[in-house]
Amino acid sequence: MSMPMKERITSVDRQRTWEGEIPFHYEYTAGVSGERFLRGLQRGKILVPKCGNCGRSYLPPRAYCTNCFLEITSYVELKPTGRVSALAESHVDFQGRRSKPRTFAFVTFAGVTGGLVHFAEGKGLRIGSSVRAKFKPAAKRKGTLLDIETFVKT
Amino acid sequence: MVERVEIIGVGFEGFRPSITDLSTRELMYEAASKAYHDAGVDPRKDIGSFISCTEDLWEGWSIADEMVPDQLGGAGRPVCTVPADGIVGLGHAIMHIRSGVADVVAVEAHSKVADVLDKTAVENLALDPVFHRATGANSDVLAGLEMSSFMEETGTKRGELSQVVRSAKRKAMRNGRASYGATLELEEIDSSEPLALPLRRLDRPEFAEAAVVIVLASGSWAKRHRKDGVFIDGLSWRSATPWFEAGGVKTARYMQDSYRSVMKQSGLRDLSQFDVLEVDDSYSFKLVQHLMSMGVSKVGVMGMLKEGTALNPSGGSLGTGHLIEATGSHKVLECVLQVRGTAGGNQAKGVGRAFASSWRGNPTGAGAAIALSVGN
Ligand SMILES: [Zn+2]
Repeated sequence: MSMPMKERITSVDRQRTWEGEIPFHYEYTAGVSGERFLRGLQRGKILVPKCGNCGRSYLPPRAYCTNCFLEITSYVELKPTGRVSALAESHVDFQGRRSKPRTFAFVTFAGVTGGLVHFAEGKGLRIGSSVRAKFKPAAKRKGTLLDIETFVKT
Repeated sequence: MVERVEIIGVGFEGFRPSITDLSTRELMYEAASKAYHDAGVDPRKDIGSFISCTEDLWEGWSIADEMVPDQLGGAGRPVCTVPADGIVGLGHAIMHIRSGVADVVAVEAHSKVADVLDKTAVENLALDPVFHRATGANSDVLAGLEMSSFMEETGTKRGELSQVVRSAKRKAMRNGRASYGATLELEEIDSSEPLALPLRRLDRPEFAEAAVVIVLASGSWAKRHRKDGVFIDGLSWRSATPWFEAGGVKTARYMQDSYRSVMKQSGLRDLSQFDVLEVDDSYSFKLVQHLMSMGVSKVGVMGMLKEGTALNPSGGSLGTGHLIEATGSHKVLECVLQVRGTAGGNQAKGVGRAFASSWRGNPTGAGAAIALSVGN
C-alpha cells in the first residue's frame, strides 16, 4: 500500500486522526438476587443465595445455580466474618491514574463459592487473616456494595 | 471420522506499538492480501466463509460486523464476527468446514488498540457494574488479587515472576514481530512501577497493534488443490465463571479443560511432545499458572524459561505486546511460521509440532488451545 501522504508526522498535532467519543450512560438493573443482597446490606446483613438442590451458596449473588442450572429462591444470612483469600495494594485509581495506595481484598466466607472484592484494613493484614465487615451507620446506607465500609482484621 | 482441517496460509501486518498510517480496515486488508497470496487463493472465488474476531468496544464502533466484509474480500458472501480471541475464531472456522458451510475459511483478528484513548475505561466496562465497579477496583486490581493468591498458594516468589518477564523480553529481542524486547536486570523488574501490588508495570504487557489473517481449508480441498498445509490436530475452548471467583488459583480451569480436550483430540500425552509452545502470558504469573494448569510443575516452568527452550520463542505477549483479540492468532501465527521453518531470528530447530493457548483477559474465565503439526 502506498503512503497516504508524502510528509511524515513531525508533530502530534498533525497526526492524521479523528477524535471521537462514545458518551453513553447506563442504569444497570441489580436483578432479583442482587436486590435481595443489596437490601440485606442496607439492613446490615450479608444474605447469600443457597441452591435448594446442591446446597451451594454464591457471592456475588445470583438467582440461579452455576452447578445445577436451577433457580435459587432461598437465602441464608452469613456471619459478617470472612477470610482474606487475596490481597492487593492498588497504586492506581479506577481510571488507571496514580493514586494514593488503597488495600483491596478478596474476602471469602465459609461454605460460600466466590467472595467479595472490597477494601480491607488492619495491622498485619495478610492472606489468611480473618476480617469482619464494618457497615456504615444505618442512616448512611444506600443499598449498594459500599454499605460495607471496609473489612477490618479481627 | 471427522475431516481434517489445515492452515493453508497466513498473513500479517503491523506488530508495532502504534500504526499511524493505516486505518483499521487498511490494516486488515494488508494482512488478508498477504494471507491469500500465501495460500494461493482468490477470496472472491475460493473462500466460502469469512470470520473476524472483534469486540465493538475496542473498535469504538458498534456492530463492528458492518466494517468487516470489503477489506477481507468477503463482500456479498457469508461473513460473521466472533467477539472472542482468534483461536476461538479458528474453532468457528473448523465448524464451518466440518459442517459443510465452506471448504475454505478466512479468520481475521486484529488490534488497533492505540486508537483507543481510554483503554482502562474499556477494560472497566468489562467488570460487573454492581459488584466490581462499585469499589473502584479495576482490572489491574483483579489481576493483583489473583496474583497474590497464586503466589501464596504455589509458593511463587517475586524473583521467579521477574525471571518470566526477563525471559520474555530477551526472547523478543530476536523476533521482528515483537515490539517490547529488552535486556533487563531482575532488579529493574522487581522494582518496576507498582500497579496493584504484587502486580507491577512489567508484569503486564504493553499493548501493540497488528492484524493476522489465517486461511483454513478442509483436508480434501487442500489435497485436491495441492496445498501443503499445517494440520490442526486439536482445538478447544472453554468459558468458566468470570475471574477466579469460582474456584482456586493454582490452576485455571478454562486452560486445564481446553488443554485436556486438545490432547485427547490430538492423541498426545503431554506438552513435552511439542517442539514449540506459545502459551498465554497476559500477566507474568498467568504464564506460570497456565503451564501448571497443563500439568507442568513449577520447577518445570522455571526450567522452561532458559534460552533455547521450546517455550514462547516469540517473546510472548510480554515481549510482543498485547494484541487484544489477535493475541491467540499471533501465537498461532508464530507456531505456523515455526513448523514451516520461517520464524526468523527466533526460529527453533526441527519443529514438527507446536501448541498455542490464549486467555481472553480479565475479568473473563475464557481460554483456548490448539495443537498443530506438519509432515506426519
Ligand atoms: Zn445447585
